[in-house]
Amino acid sequence: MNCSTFEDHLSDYLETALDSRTKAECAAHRLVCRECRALYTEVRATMGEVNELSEGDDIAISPVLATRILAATTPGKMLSCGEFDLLIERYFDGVFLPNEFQTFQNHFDQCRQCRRLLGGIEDAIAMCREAKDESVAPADLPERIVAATTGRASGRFYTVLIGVWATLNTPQWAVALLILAAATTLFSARFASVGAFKAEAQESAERLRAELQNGLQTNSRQARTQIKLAAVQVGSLLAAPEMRSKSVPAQSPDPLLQSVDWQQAPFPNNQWNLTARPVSSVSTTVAGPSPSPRSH
Amino acid sequence: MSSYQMNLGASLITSDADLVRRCRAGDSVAWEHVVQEYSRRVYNLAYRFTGRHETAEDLTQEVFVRVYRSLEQYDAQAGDLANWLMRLARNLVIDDYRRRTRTPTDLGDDLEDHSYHLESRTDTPDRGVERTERAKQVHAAIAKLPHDLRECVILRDIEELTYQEIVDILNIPLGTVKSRINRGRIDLAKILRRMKVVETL
Repeated sequence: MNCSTFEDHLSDYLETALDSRTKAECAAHRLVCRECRALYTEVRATMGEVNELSEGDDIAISPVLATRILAATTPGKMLSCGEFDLLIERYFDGVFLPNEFQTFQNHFDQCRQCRRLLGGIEDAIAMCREAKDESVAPADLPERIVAATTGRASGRFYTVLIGVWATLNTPQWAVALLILAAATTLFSARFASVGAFKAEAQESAERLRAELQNGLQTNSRQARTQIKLAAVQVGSLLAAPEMRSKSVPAQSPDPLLQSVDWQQAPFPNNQWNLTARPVSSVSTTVAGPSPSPRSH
Repeated sequence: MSSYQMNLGASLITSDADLVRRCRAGDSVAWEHVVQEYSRRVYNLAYRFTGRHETAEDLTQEVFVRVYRSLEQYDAQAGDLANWLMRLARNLVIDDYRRRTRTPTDLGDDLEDHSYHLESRTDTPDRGVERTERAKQVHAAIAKLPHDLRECVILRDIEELTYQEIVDILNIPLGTVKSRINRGRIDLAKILRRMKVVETL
């Protein structure tokens, strides 16, 4: 007999259910094989331990289980989960009839799912209340609303611009953004094909410059708001359908550019030139010959 | 038929048949007695298969709902109420066990979390603690067995059914039952050995 056969017969061997010949073979193998001898001892001990479990029934049951069972089996008023659902609203409103409450309570005690459901609803209500207390509007919300409502037709770029602005609160950033906006406006104006758009862009550029000057001088909050409004306008112009068309016809140098007096532009020193450089480089690649505003 | 006597309410009950007759007639005291008497046993059976207290409680309740509805079918001539009730419980618990092992989403075991559920009813405190600890280990080891081996070992070595009874309940051939019990016992011994090794490390 080998180890595998011994294992196959082990249960019968332990329960003395083998015929005498196989039993003798098993006994002989157990004598010579140390592993199988150990296995025999272990399995016999395990069987003893498992048997002991059956004597005990020693897993204590919940004290309310019997009550639950009685409530579930005793004939009489028993709500279904659907009926329970219908009563939940009344439960939260506190408008139960006395007998209704009892049946509701009984179902609640017996049905784990409905207990969870009710717990979930209570949690949700609590969370809503908490959220109500906690939510405070951001400080710049009124400003943003003003900008959004007094600005022109809204476009995606325009919205993005507002979002960007909300993060740029320091005066330095405001100036940087303005430079960028002014450059962008000039760029737009350079390639605009619709007359009205050109006029608006020019106006915006003028306003921007004025506001920029104003902003640099006063640095006041009001000035910044005005700057922001101007920037928003530029943003909405950029989002206008004319600017979204991909094919922009090449044009001769635009008179608008001559109207911008760069000598008067409020650049305190030369550092801002850097900001404008990408604009001129882009303009040359996109559309034919274009005198860069910086190349004078 | 068991020849016990108990005093329920005003009247004396002398047999299972009597008890069941009173339950059928809507005697809540008699039915409460049945629930109190057997719920622990049913619960233990359910817990051994499920390894989860919540599931075991739900199952126990389900068993008694079924028993209550089937009281008409109990035939005192055919055997004890305990046997009849436990047979019904076993069928239901095994049905549920097999359903869950086919969809193994609910198979987590919470044996570790609920150690307090194991209580001891032995004489000395020391021995009691020791025994409870060991019982906990054996339960945990059984829970680690593959489910087909687990059900056979539980039915044979805890529920102490005969091979033929197991064949009838599980509806599988005798040879399969025998080999699963054998394999289950060997695996169980090995699992317990490993647990011991881990413990001593």
